[in-house]
Amino acid sequence: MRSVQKPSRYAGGEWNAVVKDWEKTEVKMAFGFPDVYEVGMSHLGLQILYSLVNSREDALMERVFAPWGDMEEQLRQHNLPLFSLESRRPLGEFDILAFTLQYEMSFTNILNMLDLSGMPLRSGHRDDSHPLILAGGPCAFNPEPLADFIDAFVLGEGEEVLNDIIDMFKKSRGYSKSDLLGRLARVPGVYVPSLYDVSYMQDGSMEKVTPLLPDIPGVVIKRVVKDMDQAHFPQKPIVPHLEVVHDRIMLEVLRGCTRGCRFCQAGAIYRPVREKSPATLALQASNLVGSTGHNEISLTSLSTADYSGVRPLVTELLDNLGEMGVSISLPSLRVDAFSVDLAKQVQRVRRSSLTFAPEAGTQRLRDVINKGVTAQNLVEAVTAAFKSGWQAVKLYFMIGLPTEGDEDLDGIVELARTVLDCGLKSGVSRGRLKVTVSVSSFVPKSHTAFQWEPFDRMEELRRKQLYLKDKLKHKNISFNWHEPAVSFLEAVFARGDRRLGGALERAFALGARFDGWSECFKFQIWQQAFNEAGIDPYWYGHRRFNAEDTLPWDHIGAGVDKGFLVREHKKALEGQLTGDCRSGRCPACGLCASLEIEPVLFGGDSVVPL
Amino acid sequence: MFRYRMKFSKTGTARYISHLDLLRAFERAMRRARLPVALSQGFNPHPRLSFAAPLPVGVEGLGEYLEVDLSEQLESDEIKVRLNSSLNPGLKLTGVKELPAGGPALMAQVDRADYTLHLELPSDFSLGDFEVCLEGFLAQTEIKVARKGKDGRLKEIDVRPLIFSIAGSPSQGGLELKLELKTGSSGNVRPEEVVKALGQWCHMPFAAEGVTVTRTGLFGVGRTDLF
Repeated sequence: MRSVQKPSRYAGGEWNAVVKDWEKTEVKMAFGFPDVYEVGMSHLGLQILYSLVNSREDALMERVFAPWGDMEEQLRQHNLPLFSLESRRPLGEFDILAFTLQYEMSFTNILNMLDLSGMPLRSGHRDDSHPLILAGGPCAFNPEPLADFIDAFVLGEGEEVLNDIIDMFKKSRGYSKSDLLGRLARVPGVYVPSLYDVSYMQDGSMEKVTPLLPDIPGVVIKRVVKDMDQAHFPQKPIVPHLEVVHDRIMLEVLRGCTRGCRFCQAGAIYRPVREKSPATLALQASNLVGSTGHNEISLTSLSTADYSGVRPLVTELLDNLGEMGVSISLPSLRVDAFSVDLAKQVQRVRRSSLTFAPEAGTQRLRDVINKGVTAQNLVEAVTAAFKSGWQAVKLYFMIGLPTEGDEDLDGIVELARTVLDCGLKSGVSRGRLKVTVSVSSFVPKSHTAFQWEPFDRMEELRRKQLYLKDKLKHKNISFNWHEPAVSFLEAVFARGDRRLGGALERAFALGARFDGWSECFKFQIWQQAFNEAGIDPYWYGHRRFNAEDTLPWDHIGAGVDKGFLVREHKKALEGQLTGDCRSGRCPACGLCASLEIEPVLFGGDSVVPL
Repeated sequence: MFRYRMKFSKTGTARYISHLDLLRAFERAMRRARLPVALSQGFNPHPRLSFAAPLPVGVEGLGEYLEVDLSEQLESDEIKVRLNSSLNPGLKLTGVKELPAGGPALMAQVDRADYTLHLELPSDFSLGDFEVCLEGFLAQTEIKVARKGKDGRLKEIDVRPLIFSIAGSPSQGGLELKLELKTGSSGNVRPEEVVKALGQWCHMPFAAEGVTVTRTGLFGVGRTDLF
């Protein structure tokens, strides 16, 4: 431990970490976050599930993170297995090992963690002596690329289904693993890939996915928590030693977002919108401050300004927590003056910059993606920001969106210049004024209106980046972009099928790790891996699906009707907007009917209609 | 404002907490214990809490010190009990004392530290050999050690005047070394620097890795108690 960077990543012993009696606890689970400690400890899901499982008398949960390169070297050199933080036990001793799939570029880390635990990577090579390997999270909504390595995928919100899985595990002690898997496949929300057969057509595209047992579902539908107030929420989250990405209390105020931006997978997989009541939030906030000692609380959600009672909530929290010296932060802002006003009310110290996400440069393209933000909205928002004391603004855009042309890139430049003007007009000093334009490459994701669209060619994206870089050259403008090769690989895995497993395994064997980190990513490894596995990644990344095609994730249900997505896709190409169901009109996405659920809103401030 | 000096130990897995993280850990523990820590003035107020001397990552500390200003006066014992129940595993307060305001800063008072470490001795090197070697080492008028300066370049520092004493005794098949070294803002030498230099002198490179070091105490000028 002494010879690695940041040894407290592996130390454990944090405040609120739970170490249970190993011998006396029946079911032993490990949560594997496939990135370093600092990233993983910012994940609210980990805290929720950790607290959930540890609150059961018959189960325990410990944590394990991806070891950084230097630690991996030490482990391999000294022949030591990867160990959990709490009891420092090898992962192989646990009953269940559960990974979270937050982003595709973490997949090689998962294989590495399995390998460092001394386990065969492929589920087919593992036997009853190995732990049950589970995986959940957003990427589980297209699980196929990992189908050969994971025993069972968990779709949707873990608060309920994880308890069902543990109960089933207990009931199945003494049964073989294949029997256990058969039983798990019948638990709603659990997808066991080995119990489904995939067939392909002549041209390589997917033909169909067929369940191999009679009573397992043809489409596995996600689990959803109906009542957020009753749902388990950690009262004593672990307080990390190290400075982590988010060093504050994360209080989830609502889940889901129905604004319907057409590129957004989170909007599809986390709907419907379910708010927590203001009373529950006030109570949880006060408990969390007492149990952690953090001095900042972040009101998290996909779009906190959309919480229907956000004004009174913020006022109440400020009143109660202000005297304890606890400040509040709002991570995601809408592009309007209301949001800025809220941010001003809440932040005592003006953080360096405010971030807005217009996503596209022209009204036409914004309408295509259903992000109904106007240039006027943006002008009002940034003017409010500058007048309130902020001197720097960050703007997020995407390139490679469907129907995009160079005029849309010009739109980005124009917006950036307009924002700059607003700054100068609002009296921000030329020396301090800063507009950062950050551009990422659009990756078409499953269960969205754009799931049929291809990923833009890497050369095109590079050209567009250079185009923008050139036009945005200005003393007060700074331009950030992402390596298109990384986004390309994301697209390949986000839209891929089981056949990609061979390439993933090869890339891991060739040394791919921490692919999401620019300092570790090596495209040549991936190129070689695809070559050796006989796979053409460009076919996967650039294919355009037709409405009648079977998609590689059709057997996974986010609850949103495919017909709805087809309609949304058509409306996108026509530049037509779809409203948010919270402000009245239901666009018939099919979710409420199929999941027997409805949005839960507490009212108060009404949601600003699009 | 009321000033309190606290003695604490940092052991077990807590020894991997870096200095900055330790500061944050104490800040949070104080908040959990609902101790009214005073805040500094200015644009970015922070808790008035400071340490005597940073402990290197990986080194256990048995007699460390910190100082904090509270906005209310509380019984020292009460502070100790409340804070101990909110401190991370591996951190423990062993004493709390109220100080009159306006005294010298803790950091300025620190002068020297005691370290204990255990070294493996190779089979052909006896305790007697070591004693001879140590005597010669300490008899030097200067001991040069290379340190990286702020600009990245290596500078040579004479650390002989910063070594107060070194004593070795047999222990568990090896050697237990007790070092008394200058520590603090007016001069500082680290235990691993001394051990490396000693190893070079004795022509016996003591392994830098795998040496467990414990800082057993911190003192003021002339070995005065900081408490």
